[in-house]
Amino acid sequence: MTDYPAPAPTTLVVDAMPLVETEEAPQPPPVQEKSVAHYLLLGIAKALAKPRVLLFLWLWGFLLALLVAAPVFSSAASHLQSVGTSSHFDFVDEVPAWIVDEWRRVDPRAWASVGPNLALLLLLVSLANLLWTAGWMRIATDSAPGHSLRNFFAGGGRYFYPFLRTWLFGCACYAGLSYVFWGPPAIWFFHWFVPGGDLNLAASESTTFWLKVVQQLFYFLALWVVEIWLDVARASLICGQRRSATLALIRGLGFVLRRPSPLFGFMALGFGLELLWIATMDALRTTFDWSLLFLVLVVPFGRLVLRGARYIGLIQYYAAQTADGSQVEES
Amino acid sequence: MRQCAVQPVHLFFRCGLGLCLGWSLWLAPVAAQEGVEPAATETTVGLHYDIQVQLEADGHALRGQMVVEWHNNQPQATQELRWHVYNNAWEGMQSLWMREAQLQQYERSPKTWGHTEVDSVRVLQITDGQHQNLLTAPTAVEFQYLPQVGAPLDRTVAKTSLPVAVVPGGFVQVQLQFRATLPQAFRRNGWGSGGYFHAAQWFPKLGVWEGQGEQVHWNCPPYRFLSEFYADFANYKVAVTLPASYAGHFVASGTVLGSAPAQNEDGTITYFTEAERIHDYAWTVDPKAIVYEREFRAENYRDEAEEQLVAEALGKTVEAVRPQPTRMILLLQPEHEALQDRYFEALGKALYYFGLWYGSYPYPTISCVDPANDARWTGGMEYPRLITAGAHLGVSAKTLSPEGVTVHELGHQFWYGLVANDEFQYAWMDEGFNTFSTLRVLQHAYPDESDTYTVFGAEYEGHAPLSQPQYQSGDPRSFVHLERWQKPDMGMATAFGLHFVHQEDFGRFLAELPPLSYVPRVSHDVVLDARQQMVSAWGQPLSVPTMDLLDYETMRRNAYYRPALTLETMARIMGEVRWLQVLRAYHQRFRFRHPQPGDFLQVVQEFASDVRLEGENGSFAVDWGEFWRQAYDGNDTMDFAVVYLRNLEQTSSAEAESTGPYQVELALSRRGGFHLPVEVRITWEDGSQSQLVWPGKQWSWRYRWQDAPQRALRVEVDPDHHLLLDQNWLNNRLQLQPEADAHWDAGLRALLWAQQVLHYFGGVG
Repeated sequence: MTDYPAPAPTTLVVDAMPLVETEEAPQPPPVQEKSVAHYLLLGIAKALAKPRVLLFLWLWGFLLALLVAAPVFSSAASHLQSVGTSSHFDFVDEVPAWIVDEWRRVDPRAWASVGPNLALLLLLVSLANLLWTAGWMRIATDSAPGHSLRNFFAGGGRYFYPFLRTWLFGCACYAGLSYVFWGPPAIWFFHWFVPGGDLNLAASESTTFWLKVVQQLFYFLALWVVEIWLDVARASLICGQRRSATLALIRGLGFVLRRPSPLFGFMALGFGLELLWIATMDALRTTFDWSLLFLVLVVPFGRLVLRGARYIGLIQYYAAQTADGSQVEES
Repeated sequence: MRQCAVQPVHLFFRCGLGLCLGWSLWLAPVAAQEGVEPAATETTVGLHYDIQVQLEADGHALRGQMVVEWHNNQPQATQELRWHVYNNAWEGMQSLWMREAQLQQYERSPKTWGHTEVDSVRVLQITDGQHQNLLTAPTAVEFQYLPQVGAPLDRTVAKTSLPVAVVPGGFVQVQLQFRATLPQAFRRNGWGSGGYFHAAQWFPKLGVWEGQGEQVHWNCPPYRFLSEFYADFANYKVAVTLPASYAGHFVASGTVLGSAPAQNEDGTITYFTEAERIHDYAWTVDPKAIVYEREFRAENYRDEAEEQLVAEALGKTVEAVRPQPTRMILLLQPEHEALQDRYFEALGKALYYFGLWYGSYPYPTISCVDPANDARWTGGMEYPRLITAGAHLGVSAKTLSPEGVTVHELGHQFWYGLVANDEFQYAWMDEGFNTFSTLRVLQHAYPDESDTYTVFGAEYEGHAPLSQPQYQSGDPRSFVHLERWQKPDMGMATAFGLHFVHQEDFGRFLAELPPLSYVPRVSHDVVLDARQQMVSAWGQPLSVPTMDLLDYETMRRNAYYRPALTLETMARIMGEVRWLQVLRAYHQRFRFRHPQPGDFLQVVQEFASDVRLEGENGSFAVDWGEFWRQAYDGNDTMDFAVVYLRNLEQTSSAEAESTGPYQVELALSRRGGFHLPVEVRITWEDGSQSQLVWPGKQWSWRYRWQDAPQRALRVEVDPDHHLLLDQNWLNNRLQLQPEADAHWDAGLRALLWAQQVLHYFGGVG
């Protein structure tokens, strides 16, 4: 015979006369809700604990940027060494416009190469970031010690295709939002304020001005919401060790709708710290008159740490708020 | 046309025959053709317009009648008059202007069309040389539109055949009634939705009866896509009747008579205006706009060094060269209130410098219009005594908006308004001289211009070292950039485009982080900046008539920047004093006249034929005839370059003792067909410099010092950047020990920018 556990104390209603057992029901210990700042700081600590990953990402970004800048550097070395001018001319603080114009006119090929190179690289970095995102999130869920890049790449490799599906969904969202904010729906909306919905036909420039500001602001906010949604969906994939991007997007949407304030607060704090880092580094360089090389070396480092921290912090937060939390350990 | 109270001018007009008799002998003093400041002589103004016009209730159409008195000042009789009816360019796609626009793939057209109808034409009188009327009674004549090649339905030129010929010395008086509907603001004239109405090219206007000897003809071409306007100097009396709501919101080419408009019985108001010796008449009203007035006085804008220079060049006192006062009137949109001071400052500075260099602005007022937002098409245009500018909210003072356009349009009062060339054929003679002058005014008055970027409509200083790719619609590469996917039309389904990310100011700001990655200050020297308009091949010579140029880009280059660079080159070669003399003399001689291209060269040769370049190797005269042949009739480019600089140490001490320790040799080459003497400067080890002159006719040139006491470190051809027509200044200098490390910082700046952009897009999607 099986020993069944004793039934939990219940409230009995008898003839509308409640009989409450004298012994109080045991309550679960109160859970202290951690602030989003906690998760962000945790993310920063975890990201800083992976110097090899940071170094790799820094080198990756540096080399790609070098592909864009190298033709410019080479052209400058050919054409600007003997310019000679009495006016201030250093590209750090000031440069006369005519020298830039002359340079571009005389060597158009160097400048023409920037566009195609950059276009390809933008696509590449956007796709590569799927690997890096998964890598950071994987690191957050993995308590294994060590500084190897293996876990980082393993996470990226394992989740690349589900992430790619969310990326494609993101592209569709961006296209949809661009259509809504800059296409016929926007014209229809402007129609209420301006003849024909054409901002150039507003009798008052102030009307045009404010409509454009609102348009840009809301477009950016909409893109930001999509970006947060995608990140949460990806966190749910890794947290629950799942493969279905569709279900992850549905879960992500639900999560975003239930907890908009903490999520936006978390992201805003992350971006705020990034901004602070950039401003501080730039101020240091200006104050001490250091070379631009200082910024080239230092600014991406801080931005990478904070981006990694956002991914790590987000998945920790997601785990703490959902049943998937058992997959993730805080360290 | 509404009934209105009969005002004195109306009565005068309705009497018709009595019109302007006092004007027929009106004489105007015009400068003579000698010296920098020629003595006054006299020529007649042979054209008088007396116009009454009323703006109809819809705010889009005008109903008017006018009496035109034209004197035949040429040695040949004519039995017809030719008229411009420019407003008919906007009556449909059949006009020559619209046809040419279509051929040039210019896809815009007026949102609402405009047109002018002439209801009646009556010849009131035609006199012989002794002012005896040859007509027994006023005679109705036909207003006959002339079909144009390529546009048979064009109605921008018309003729009226006269009952008898107008002989030399005689005049004709013609009365016209017309109705002009202006388009919604499009290419220079029209209306805006808030009551803004800009009346330009709104009345039938006589062409110019001109020529030499037996070649006298009516110069009255149709309105064409690449052309502007041309007309003779005239005296105007214009009465404009408006709804009462326009009271106090009116500016015009003429001086408003009285302190307020006349009140009519039907509730309308009438502004009576007059103007003398102008060749077009425009006016603007806007019930929302505010009209401000300030007095221009030279002492508020003084540039002592420039005054000294001009006084020296003209042999006058500083006081004598200062421009005379005039009244500045600004019709300003209320939302641009913050720009009021900037507008007036630009007007004042332009009046000051133009007046200083070319002689005072001769009219009592200058009006400037800040167009309504939905009528910006009417901005950036010049009419005698009235200009239209334009500005945007949030503009930084660093970008010289509205200053740049205001100075330029005001400059047209001098180049076009006073020196009135034929813009159909020689647009460079006003646009080129004025662009040259505008750049110089901006250089003197606004030395702090720099590049800005825009975020949420506000401008901040800085300039991107590189730029994100942008592709034309349909370019498949835009898909790679995740900016746009364009599906071409393949017959099965129509083409459509899909934008993934829209490139707007705020998005660019986030991607590029301008405060971090942009060059903080890209400073401008507006004169040198004009070089960015140069192209490796000029396309067509300056001498090709403007209206026949191949396309808009060529017109823009040949009318504006190429002549401006040519003039600046001439100025720098001959020196400021000589140049001031040339331009002053040319301007004064052709004030209130219509110069031809050869007239300018004649003045140059008169004042600058003795200009020479001096060097160790001799003295070389500049042949201005040859220069002009190459710059104006020819199409060659100019590019002088340093090929090498070599220091050869003498092989033996004996050789060194006898000839000096070094042989130094430099080589120059000319990579364009344009040739002229050019200065060459050599800098030696001890910092001393030598000056040579390369005659410039050969394709290359070598120069050697057999016995140089030291090494040469640097050689520069055209070291002071006199030759703005030189295509490439970066090859003008060779330095054996490069001194600048700007190339390193340029690369780092580009690298920093690329890092931020790639980081941003790495987080997208």
